[in-house]
Amino acid sequence: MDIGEQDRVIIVEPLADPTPAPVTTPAPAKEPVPSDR
Amino acid sequence: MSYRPRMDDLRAELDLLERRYGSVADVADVTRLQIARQRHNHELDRVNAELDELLVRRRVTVDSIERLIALEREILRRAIDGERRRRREGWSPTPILGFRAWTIERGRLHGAVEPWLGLTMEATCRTVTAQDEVPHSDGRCGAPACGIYALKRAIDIQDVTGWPTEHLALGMVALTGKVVEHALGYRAQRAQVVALAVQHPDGVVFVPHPVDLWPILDGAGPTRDVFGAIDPYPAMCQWLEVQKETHEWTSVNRTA
Repeated sequence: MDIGEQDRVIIVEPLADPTPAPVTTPAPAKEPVPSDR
Repeated sequence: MSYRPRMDDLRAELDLLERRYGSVADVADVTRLQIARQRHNHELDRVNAELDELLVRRRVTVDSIERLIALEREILRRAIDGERRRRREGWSPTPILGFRAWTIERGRLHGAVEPWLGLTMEATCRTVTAQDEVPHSDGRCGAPACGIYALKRAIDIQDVTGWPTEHLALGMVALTGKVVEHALGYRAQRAQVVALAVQHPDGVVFVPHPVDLWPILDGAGPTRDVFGAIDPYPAMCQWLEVQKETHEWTSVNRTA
């Protein structure tokens, strides 16, 4: 692939995606287990 | 500051006993001790004065070191900024879009040199051991220089002389990391496929979203419409240019 003469360097640092992380539903609390004692 | 323990209370108590009983035991040793103690107090005062002077000298020296560090940093910063200006080095918060070709073999995209394991590729240099600063821009790895190649204009990848006419894919890639710009294209550190036009026996399959590419690569056939064309390459290149405009517009609005 002929891309011609080298010109210059570009540093590409993409910004973090502003899309918020998906909201996760916390697992329901476990029912208390009755003690044998 | 001298160390001066309280002795007056004991001396007063001894005086009280002398007045009470007319005489007390001889404490001449205490007088000698007092003289020795005064001598040591003088020595302590001298040491404290030297310490004060040393603390001042230490503060002055630390200040001088901090000024020298700031000066060094300023000179280095000016040299770095000047070199970047002289080399016209650029910086971008958004990926650079370019175009390239692959063949599709055994469910994978194959570049001119090696297969891509997915839709992304990280460049390595096969000529020199040091993998820092890839793609090299100082000429150390000769020609062709290392990096993931892409062209600026989709129309320039129409020259696919020597490539197979079947299973050919032309695509747009987002280039990130260190990107070396050339007159007609780029050499990049990282590339990700963002749109693909795949040649099909019945025409061309346009894949604007990379996730839709897998059924085609897996041999399940196109899940999208196939567009017949007498000469598929111009149609593929024109479609890729439109994809570039769409991506650039989206990028501008996302960062606005």
